[in-house]
Amino acid sequence: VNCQQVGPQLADYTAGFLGSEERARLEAHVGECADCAQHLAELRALDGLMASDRVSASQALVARVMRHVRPAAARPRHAWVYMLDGLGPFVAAVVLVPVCALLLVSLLPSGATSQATVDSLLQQPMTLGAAVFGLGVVAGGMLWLSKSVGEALA
Amino acid sequence: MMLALMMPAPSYPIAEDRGEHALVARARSGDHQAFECLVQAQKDSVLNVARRIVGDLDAAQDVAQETFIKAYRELRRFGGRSSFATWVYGIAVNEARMYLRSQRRRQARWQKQASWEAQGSQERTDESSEAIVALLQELPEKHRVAVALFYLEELSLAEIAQAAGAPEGTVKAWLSRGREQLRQLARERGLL
Repeated sequence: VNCQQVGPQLADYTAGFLGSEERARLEAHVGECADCAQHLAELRALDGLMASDRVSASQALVARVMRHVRPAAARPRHAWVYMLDGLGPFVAAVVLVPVCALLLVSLLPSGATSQATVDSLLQQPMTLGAAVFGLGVVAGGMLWLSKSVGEALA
Repeated sequence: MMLALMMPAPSYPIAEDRGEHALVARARSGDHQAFECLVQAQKDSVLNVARRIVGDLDAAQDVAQETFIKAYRELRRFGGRSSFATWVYGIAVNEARMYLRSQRRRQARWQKQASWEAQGSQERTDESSEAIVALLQELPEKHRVAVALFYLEELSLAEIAQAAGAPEGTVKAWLSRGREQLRQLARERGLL
């Protein structure tokens, strides 16, 4: 057995991958060869270096994982979160009433009476439908936004 | 976040259910505390594997977080043929590889941008990397994965192969070459 044969086997030796026969042959050579003994010492020093280079995960990591794992309903909620959730319809109403009024006014022929407005709207069902659909989308969006913000802050 | 940080670490209330398989079964049936126990048991090892593969502690934290979230989502697919730990290490290796691929794509984009941006990112990487972890980044990715799993010091060759997603013989060769390359690099940089 010579250094060219033993050298590539030293990593396997320190990893415990060699059989008893190969191990005995290698140990006999290393006992007589200063270069291979140095090579082996370096591999063991490397193992020590790697073993000492360990970091510990913080509880914050566990907390972040569990926040994703637990369903939203199981998370602790506080009164202000419920209040934020409840604000959705209120904010939607505050925004929607003026928007509705503006839309209606914009559809009115100038100087028209309220009866004329109703007649005008009924004669344009597509416009009326689009306006109602748009208002529905805005209202839904605002409700979703307030709920999402509430959940994100919970 | 603050509330979660202030919460105490979970206790391990049912002594007879501490076994990994029992915890996995409980977690599968929706017991979040059982899953938290599994996370507590593996968090350090998963973080260390991730850090040694991606080379940066902040990125490794993200990889570890994604690993456990994915493990929870795919818990029903865990067949029990390996230990839960080996299965989770496999997920961590895949997540770390995905992170490295996205990093490479990002770096390719950065190289097209102004040179000062590229220099800035390099400085941040150098500062944040510790010596031995920085050396690991010089190994080919597959060698690095094998070495990272080997130095957990708790896996057999068969388990390392399973987590790395390659045959035992191949992983054994990666390990031998990887550790030898690492020794030579460490000697050149005066770490040995």
